[in-house]
Order: sequence, then structure tokens, then C-alpha cells
Amino acid sequence: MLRRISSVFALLSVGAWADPVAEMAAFSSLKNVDLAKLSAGEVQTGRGPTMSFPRGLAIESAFVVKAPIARTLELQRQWSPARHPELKVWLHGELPAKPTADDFRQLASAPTNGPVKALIAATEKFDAAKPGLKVSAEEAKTLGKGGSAWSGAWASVLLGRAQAFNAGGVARQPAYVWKGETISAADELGRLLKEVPKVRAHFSGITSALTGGGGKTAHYWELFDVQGEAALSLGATFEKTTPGGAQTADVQYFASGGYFVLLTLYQMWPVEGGTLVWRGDYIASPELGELHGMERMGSGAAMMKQIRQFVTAFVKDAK
Amino acid sequence: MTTRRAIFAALSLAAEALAGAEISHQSDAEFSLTSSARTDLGHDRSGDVSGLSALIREVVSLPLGDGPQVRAGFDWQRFSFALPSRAPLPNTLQSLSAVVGLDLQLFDSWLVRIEAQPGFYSASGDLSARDFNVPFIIGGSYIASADLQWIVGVSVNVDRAIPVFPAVGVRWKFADRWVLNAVLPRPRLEFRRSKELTLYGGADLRSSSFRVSRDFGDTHGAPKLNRAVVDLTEIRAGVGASWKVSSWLAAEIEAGVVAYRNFDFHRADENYQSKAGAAYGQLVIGAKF
Repeated sequence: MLRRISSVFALLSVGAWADPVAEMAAFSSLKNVDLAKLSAGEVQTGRGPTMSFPRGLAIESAFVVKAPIARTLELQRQWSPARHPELKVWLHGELPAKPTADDFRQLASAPTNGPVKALIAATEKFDAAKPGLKVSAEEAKTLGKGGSAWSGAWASVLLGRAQAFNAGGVARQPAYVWKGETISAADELGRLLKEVPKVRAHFSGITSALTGGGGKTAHYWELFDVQGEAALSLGATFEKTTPGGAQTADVQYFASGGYFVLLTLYQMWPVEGGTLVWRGDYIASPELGELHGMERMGSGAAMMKQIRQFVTAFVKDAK
Repeated sequence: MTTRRAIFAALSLAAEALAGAEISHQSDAEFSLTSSARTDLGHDRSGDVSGLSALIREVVSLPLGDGPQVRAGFDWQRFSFALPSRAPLPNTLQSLSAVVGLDLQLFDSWLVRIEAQPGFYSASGDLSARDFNVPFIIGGSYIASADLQWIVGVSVNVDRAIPVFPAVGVRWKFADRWVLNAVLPRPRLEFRRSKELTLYGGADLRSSSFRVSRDFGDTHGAPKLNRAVVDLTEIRAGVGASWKVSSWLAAEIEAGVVAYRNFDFHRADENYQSKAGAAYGQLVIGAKF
């Protein structure tokens, strides 16, 4: 009798997981996605749970890519936001398994726009006593030398951090002091995931890889805009196949400005005509910690718009 | 005894409800001085009017779960004027009101604020029920992108000459360091000099309604002004600097011209306008935590 009851529950649960919309609703904040609208090209976005972590913010989105899962994963590996000027990612460079300083040579030919000039100025005038860039005390020694050395200095910082990630994932990233607080990428990531227990459980298989650093499918750096000042970031992507779908985790474990850590998780399911994608963005940013009330609401809405822009560009490229 | 127990129970329930909720505060203090401006005083008379104003405002925001934020607090504002003798104008206008409101997000892109300021708006120290008013605003901000937001709103004040005042505005970051913040009551063009310092130029439209005392008209030679409502409207144009002192504290210093000031006793059909501009200086200290 007991076995029969268990079987009924098992059937019910298989039935539930066979429905991607129901599965999405089970672990995420997007409870009522309309698959027909998503298939027609709509991108649905929403706030994740409100975090007690003051500098954390969660945004979730769902969309359909008109390609099978395998192709969607392949497109994701190859995709560069730098192809879309409206996204204000000016440089995107892929890193090999064993990166060298030469892999950051594009930095020397960065566009000479206002935000990049602001980053160069901040690099050249770097003051370790009042740092305006998120680097460790050791890395700080390579900055502030002036002249055309800014790209070389940053290539050295980025290379060191990329090698540290290869050696031991997020946990090996050097900590730095920001406004009197010691910031560790691993701690920031841990605090973000702690705020979303259902998502953490759903992605436990892939997020555990972030701390090790091995098994990544992409490793990259970017030069992008943060409110009028350029910033440099390092990120890595991990993939995992799941029964009837796939998961991806993209962690930007270092950024010279803007945020401490940005984690983007994807769950993909095959649906008629393509792949249904759930995306969760989890950001830890010092600026968010300073916003309250309506301003914080506004920053969430603005981030939703920005994510929608990125998703729309990706879906457009995937066609 | 039962009442006391009920109060304790209610307090502990409230404490439990608030535990873990992120309560934020916004405190503002503003002080402003204006030089003399030639002002029409009726009956072909005019005289110099100078003034100072002060404002203190404290608002607490409390999120209700993952949804809207409740706002509550108080607002105190005082205008003091140095007037020529026998001027039919109040030398003090002041208000003390509660701030009660709600901030909420609608769909992905709309942020809405509903805020009422029930309180006393008076030209004398003697507050009476007739000084009570509840002006309110309903405003919406459409987040088109991180760089562009459209604002629509309406201000309602039954005592004002124009009781319902609609407005539209835009906040547009059109270049890396430039923001057009064309939103009433303080439309501005802002230049972000650094992360800490923003320079700006713009206008400031101030409008509030107050009720004068029951013998104001008798003592000023115009009996029809007894208990009248007066709208004080000022249009200022100036330049200023906003300095982010720390993550929670900001200071703003501004100077310019009060281009227009009007004391409008609209229900009594009397109004007294400035005939020339006056210089002003202003200091604002704001804290958010």
C-alpha cells in the first residue's frame, strides 16, 4: 500500500517536472509565465525575492530562444555583447585555458571615449589610501604609474585574477578593502545565494563548481560602462545537463567598478519551436547598499530594463 | 490592566512584523535667505520684502514584504518675511504636517508614489481646525531605460487657486556626465563633476497655501482678508553644487534669483506680486540611511 502511495507521488512529481512552466514556478519568483507569449518573442522579467543582504538584488527573466538547447548553449558560449553598441560593452575577450598577458592586448586599443578616459584617469591617479577602484593592496602596487602603462597595469591585474580563478575558483580571488570593509568575492557570492534558497537548491550541482574553478566552458574579460566610468570585469561560465534540459552559471567574479559580484543562472527546457530559458541575475553592489525606498525600487526597475536589453540582443542574434 | 496588556500585545506584534524589514530614513533640512524685492502692496503702493525660509522633513519607509513601501513622517516649513509697515501681507507662513504615503512598482516599468500631507497650514501661531488641509500628490515614473525616465504626476490642493495641477517631466542622462532632470518642482541640468560632486543649474517652483488668522484683515486694513487663504508662489532660478559627503549624507548649496513671488488671496480677489527679482542663497542637508 505504502509503495503504491509512493508511486502515485512519484508520478505526480514526474508530471509536475515534465511541465517546464510548473518547474520554473517551483523554484523561481516567476509564477505565471505565458509560454505562448514568450514563444511569440516576449521577454518576461520580474523581481526576485527581496534580500536582507543590503547590497544584493535579484532579477529574474524568462524568454524563448528559437533554437534547440544544444544550439542555444553553443550560441551562449560564442556570444559577445560587444557586438551591440547599445549594451555599452566595448571590449569582450575570451581567455584560453592558460591565459597570458597577451590575451588582454585589446586593452591597448580600447575606445577613447569619456568613460574609458575616466578609467584611465582613475588608474593613473590611483591612491591606495582612498581607492576608487576595486583592487587588492598587492594589485594596487601596479596601478598609479601614469603614462600609457594603464593597459599594461590592468592586464597584469586581470591576468593574476584569471590565474587565481583557474587555480581555485571564486574562493581564490584576492580580497580587497572597499570603504573600510574587506570584500571577498566568495563571501559576496555566498551571501547572494543564501538569500535565494530555492534557487540555490535547484542549481546546487552547478554553483558548487564556481568555488573550484574547474570545468568551465568559457572564461572571459570585458570592458564596459558603469554610470559614465568604464570598468573591467572577469567572468566564467559553467554548463550542466539536467534531465530534460540544461543549466548554465555565469559568474563575473571581479569588476574594477560598479559591483562586487554578478551571478547569472540559466535553466533551459526544450519546448515546441525552441528552448525556454529562465534567467536569474544576482548582483552584489556597494551602490545598492546606499539606496533606499523608491530609489532602490528604481534601481531594480532599471536593472530589469538592462537585462531585457541583453536578452533581446541575445535572442536576436540567435535567430 | 486589560488595556495595558492589549497595548503590550499590539506592540510586540508590531515589533515582530517589523523584525527583519529594512526600514529606511530620509531626513532633510533646508535653510534659505532672500534679499529685498520691490513688491506691489495694493492701492498704488509698493515696498521691499525680504525673507527667509526653513524646512525640516523626516520620512521613514517600511517595505511591506516584496511589495509596496509605506512612507510616514512629518514636515515642518516656515517662511518669514521682513515687510514694510502696513503691508497687507503675513510676516509668517508655516505648516506642520504628517507625511503619509505609499511607493509601489506597477508592472516592470512604472514606479508610483501616492503621498498626502495632512496638517496645519497657517499664517499665525494659533492653529485651528480651519487651518487643516490635506494636499496630496500622485506621481508615476516610467523607467524607459537606466538613462531615461518619464514622469507624470498631479498635485491636488483644494485651497490652491489651481486645485489640480498636472505635470510631466523627464530625467534623461544624455551624456556620460550630463543629466537633464526636467522634473517639477525642481527642473535641473546636472553635470557630474565626480562621484561626490554634481554641479547644476535650474529652477525651483514653490507653491503652498496657508490660511491667515481670523482678524488678519481687520489688523491690516482689509477686512475681507480675515481667515482668507493665501497661496505663496515663488519661481527661483539658480546654480548650485551637490556634494555627497558620505554614503548617507549629502549637502547642497545654491544661489540665484527669485524671479517671481506672489501672495495670492485668490478667494478674496487680492494678490501682491513682486515687481523685481531678489537674490537668494540656500543650504540643504540631506541624510538617507
